[in-house]
Amino acid sequence: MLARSTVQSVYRVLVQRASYATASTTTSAPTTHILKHAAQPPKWVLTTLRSFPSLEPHSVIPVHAKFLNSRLRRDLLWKAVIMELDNRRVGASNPMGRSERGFSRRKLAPQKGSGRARVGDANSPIRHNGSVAHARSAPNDFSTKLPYNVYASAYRIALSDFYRNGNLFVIGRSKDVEAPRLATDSFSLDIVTTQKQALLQFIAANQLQNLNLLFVADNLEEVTNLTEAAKELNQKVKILSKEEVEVKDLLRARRVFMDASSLKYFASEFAAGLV
Amino acid sequence: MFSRFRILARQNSTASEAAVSSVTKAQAKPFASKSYIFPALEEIKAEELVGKPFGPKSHAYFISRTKKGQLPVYRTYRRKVAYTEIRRVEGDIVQLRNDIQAAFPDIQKKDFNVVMQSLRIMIRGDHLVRITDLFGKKF
Repeated sequence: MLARSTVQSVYRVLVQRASYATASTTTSAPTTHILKHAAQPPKWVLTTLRSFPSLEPHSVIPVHAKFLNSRLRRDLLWKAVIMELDNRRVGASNPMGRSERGFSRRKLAPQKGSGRARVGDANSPIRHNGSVAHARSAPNDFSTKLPYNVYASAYRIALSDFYRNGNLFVIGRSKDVEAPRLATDSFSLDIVTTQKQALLQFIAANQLQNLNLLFVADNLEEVTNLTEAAKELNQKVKILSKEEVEVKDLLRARRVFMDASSLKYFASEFAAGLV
Repeated sequence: MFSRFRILARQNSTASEAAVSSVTKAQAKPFASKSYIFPALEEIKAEELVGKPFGPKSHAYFISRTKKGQLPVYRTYRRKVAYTEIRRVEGDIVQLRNDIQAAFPDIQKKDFNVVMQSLRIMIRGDHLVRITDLFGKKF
């Protein structure tokens, strides 16, 4: 009996130890059950190549999703725009310091006995019409810095948002299309005439009235007709070369029209290290 | 990976395009480039296109490795307390948090914090090694 109970207790201890052992292995998790929702994200988006100004689609090209399908990060857009606006500041203010302010150096009230607060002279920064405490002299540098990866991702985020909402129009020719179907069309961002009416027709046909439009050209010399026609327009139309475009310009626009080489430029500048 | 792309990017860069005479440029070059951002249509697979279920609705997630091939799991200190930080999460970050909680039931749920703005998971405590091991099996 005694021997049997001893065996039973030993068995019980062993079973208990085994259960401890399995409990400790569950914390390290067996491979089949771990992270079962892990999946490969999609890699490509399809962008339409169009002719201009009819915006007629001619072909599609795949673009890496890291370039044109970045998730919206408002904080990074904010940082990029703040940095751009900081760097635009001229810093031309020339506020007067104590030494430059013209008031007398006379003490305005005796140190004691007046019943009022202690005062110095009228140049003091705490006084109305006094000087500026930390006076500067122009040019003042207000420029700030941003890590390049953050700035580059702001471009990608802005372009991705336009792409997802269908507001990015890429003008370009694919290798299997020889010429646009319409005689007035081309695969570059220019129009055939300098007349305002042509641009007005384009705006009316695509229902772009009263919208901020941004045209991004590979080279401004190739879009002279468009530039000339847009000058006469009352609408806010911005025509920039690809190097001039800032995140701020993208965010201000409601529709972006860019030629394919500009899109390639943005990819090589702001997405090159990703893939 | 990176260096291979850099060479290709240089070939496609605007600098080399500027070298092309303006006559050829005016003819609008066809859009066909050997690039990892703009592959040819024949090079990609349909199932790799955006549009297949991925993200919060399908509860799928993915963690991409860093440029150096490491997993983006870090140990940081906030007010002398160690935190484990998980970055570069794509897709459903809340489901990832739930799956990590299921894999490590000994970590208290209140120690998890999902930062939605930057898509990071902060876990109070130093769990760097075992979370890296866990991710290494999948990502």
